[in-house]
Amino acid sequence: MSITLPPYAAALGIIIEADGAGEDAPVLRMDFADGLSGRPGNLHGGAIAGLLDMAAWASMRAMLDAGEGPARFKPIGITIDYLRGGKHRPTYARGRVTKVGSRVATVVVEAWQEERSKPIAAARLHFMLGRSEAAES
Amino acid sequence: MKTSSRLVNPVPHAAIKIAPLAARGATAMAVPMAGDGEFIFDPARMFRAMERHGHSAMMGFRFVAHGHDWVELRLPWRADLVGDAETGTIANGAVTALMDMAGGMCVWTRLGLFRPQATLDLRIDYLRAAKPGADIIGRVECYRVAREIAFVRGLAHDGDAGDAVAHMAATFMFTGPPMPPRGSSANPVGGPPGMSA
Repeated sequence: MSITLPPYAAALGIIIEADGAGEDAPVLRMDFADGLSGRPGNLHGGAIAGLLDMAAWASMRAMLDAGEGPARFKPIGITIDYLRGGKHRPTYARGRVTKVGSRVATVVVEAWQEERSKPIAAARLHFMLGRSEAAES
Repeated sequence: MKTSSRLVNPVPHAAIKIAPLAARGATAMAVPMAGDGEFIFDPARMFRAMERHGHSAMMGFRFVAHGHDWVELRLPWRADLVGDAETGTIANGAVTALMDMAGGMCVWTRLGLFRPQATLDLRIDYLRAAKPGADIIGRVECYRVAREIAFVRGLAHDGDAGDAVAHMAATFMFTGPPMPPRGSSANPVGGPPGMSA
């Protein structure tokens, strides 16, 4: 199984580090580049948000490509907690689809650097599944 | 009136219409100091330094306007910022980055000075898909500054502020004391380290 990330992933230098096996979603990797820097010595919060969003999207894409739901989804919202400053080193992120209902799916995603157990940021997202008036307007 | 002297563009939020950048930029960048010589943080001037470096440069953020507690930035559409190759709309993550940037700047604008800070949490509600190929304008206001935390809220739109594509709420945590005012003996050059214009 292989998914193709949207153009914005390439702009941030995000690649698929591990495709995921079994029920695991892909692990994404974003190497540090000057274009991702924020306050001195730190990754920009916006770049971290981009990685979290992309990892959440990838977890949904991987799950739906595996034939477990509708082919279409769109985000309703994202809530990000910034937990630690991101340093000038590679950052990883993986999403986990925690619930798939008939209309909405919930994803939690974490980003980390040296240690998986010390996430630099976490987020929760809701996605609208298939067609729905609320998300189409 | 102290407050009004800080207003560079004293137009009520709802009354803002999107005008050509050049027309608004000229107004927004004109007033770095209050009449009595008191230092006032100037987001337009700071942004001219920031837009050449780091994530702002990579994303292509542009300064649009500000008031005493709000900042408006623009994210020009670019093919590599697209989040859905089929529709050609700008990625949600890019909109989030724009709002994070405008959020941080509006805190300094309300404070009237630079103070190191980090985003603590940020929530975005995606109200509708942006128009394919459209620029995104992000406007964020700081409505409260507490001792350790600043609170902001904002909206993103693609041409009509009355028809937002996203709403945003966030908090920023201060990570250090305010920086000395530009032009003071402790900081004769002005701006935070690495941000001098």
